[in-house]
Amino acid sequence: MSMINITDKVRQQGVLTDVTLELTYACNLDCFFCYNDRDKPGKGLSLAQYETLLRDLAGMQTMFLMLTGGEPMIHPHFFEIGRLTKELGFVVRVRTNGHSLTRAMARRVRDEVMPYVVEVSLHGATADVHDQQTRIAGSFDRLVKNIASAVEEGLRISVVSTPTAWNEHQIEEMFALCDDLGVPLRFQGPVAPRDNGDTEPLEIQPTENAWEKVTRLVTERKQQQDLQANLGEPIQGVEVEIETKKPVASCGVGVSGVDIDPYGNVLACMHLQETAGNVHDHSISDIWKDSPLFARARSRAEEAVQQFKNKPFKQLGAPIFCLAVEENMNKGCATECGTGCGRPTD
Amino acid sequence: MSEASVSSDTLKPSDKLCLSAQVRHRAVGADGVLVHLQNGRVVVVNEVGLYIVQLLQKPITKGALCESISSEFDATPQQAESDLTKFLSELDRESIVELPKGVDCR
Repeated sequence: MSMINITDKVRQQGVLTDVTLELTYACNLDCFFCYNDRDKPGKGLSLAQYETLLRDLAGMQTMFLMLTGGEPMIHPHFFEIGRLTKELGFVVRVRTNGHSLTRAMARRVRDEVMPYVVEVSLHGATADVHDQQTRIAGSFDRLVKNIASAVEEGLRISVVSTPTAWNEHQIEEMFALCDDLGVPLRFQGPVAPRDNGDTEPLEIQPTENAWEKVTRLVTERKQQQDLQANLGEPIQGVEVEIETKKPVASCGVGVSGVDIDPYGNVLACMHLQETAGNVHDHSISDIWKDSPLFARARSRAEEAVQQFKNKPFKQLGAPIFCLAVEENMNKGCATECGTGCGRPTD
Repeated sequence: MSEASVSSDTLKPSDKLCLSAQVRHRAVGADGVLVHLQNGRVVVVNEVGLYIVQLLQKPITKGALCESISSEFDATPQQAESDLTKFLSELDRESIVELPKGVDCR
């Protein structure tokens, strides 16, 4: 059976294959463009509730699990949760800013969580640019050191960056840095409004030239990679996805994945804040089975693609279209408070 | 992986096998999907393959696997042994199955 058939089967049978767990909105960095709404109210899930949730997901045959945040590694039960994901047989991705990923922690992550990959965030090729974004002095030097030791310890590290007005002049240098570290680099974007509708991060949207440069470099490096692979000398790769089929939806929202925020809210996507239910009140199985939210999100993604009939996706200069970015851009402000948070003031 | 090969014809009925600790698997309907954490490869197996994979979560002898398959799927012991040997060779090629040396198995 081919993977295409199994993908179809996953959809036909309504299997929840992919779950993102936002363990916390807390973070040990202070990124200017962070999309999280750190003032979002709610009651955090206990370790016992995570255990129930993870056992339910394993029973539902969920395969892929992402542990993210905020900064997931500063969650007080990160390793207990991580050990459980290993014990229950999930394929785990940890998305971290890398600040806590010291050599000792990398060993623990490798041995106790055994993730498929650890994704870390890079915001520039030099300390001044990276630290401008994180607003924590020394975070760049620490990140580079942590990546190097994590690779030495045998973790599969993948680097993710978002082009911004602050780092767009360093795109080549970021590729070079990652080549030196022996890790792949992927760019994602655009810089998006915060999940509460606050558009402040858009102040550092890069120029369209930045995305053109990323696209050109990725294409060139892919060609070089193919050539060198043919010569038996593969270079450190760049993740490239070339979509050849006409997309039927703007993304895969609502089909086989959900996001669960730190307070137990089950969302179709981490950036679409409407909730399908809360695991404080209902099992993930019931929420996935009963909520109409997922089908509605899928319909929205299918409708959204219609505006790009004969042209490529484009949004805020980036070659994508994200429903959540559009929604959060248009949340507006409930009052004249000026924060742009979209929530009424007291 | 220990010295003896899973695909070897010399694999005795009393030899124990298990899934590699690097392998994760789930059922999608009657089929099974396996992901190898080290090489990133994804393997899809049918209903019988999934049954075997589930048995391999704990160390089990080849003989016990044969008996279980023969009983569950109404196959002759010879047919079960022949099919199992081929299937184990395929799993071995994908580094999915190991001869346990200690605590490496899932």
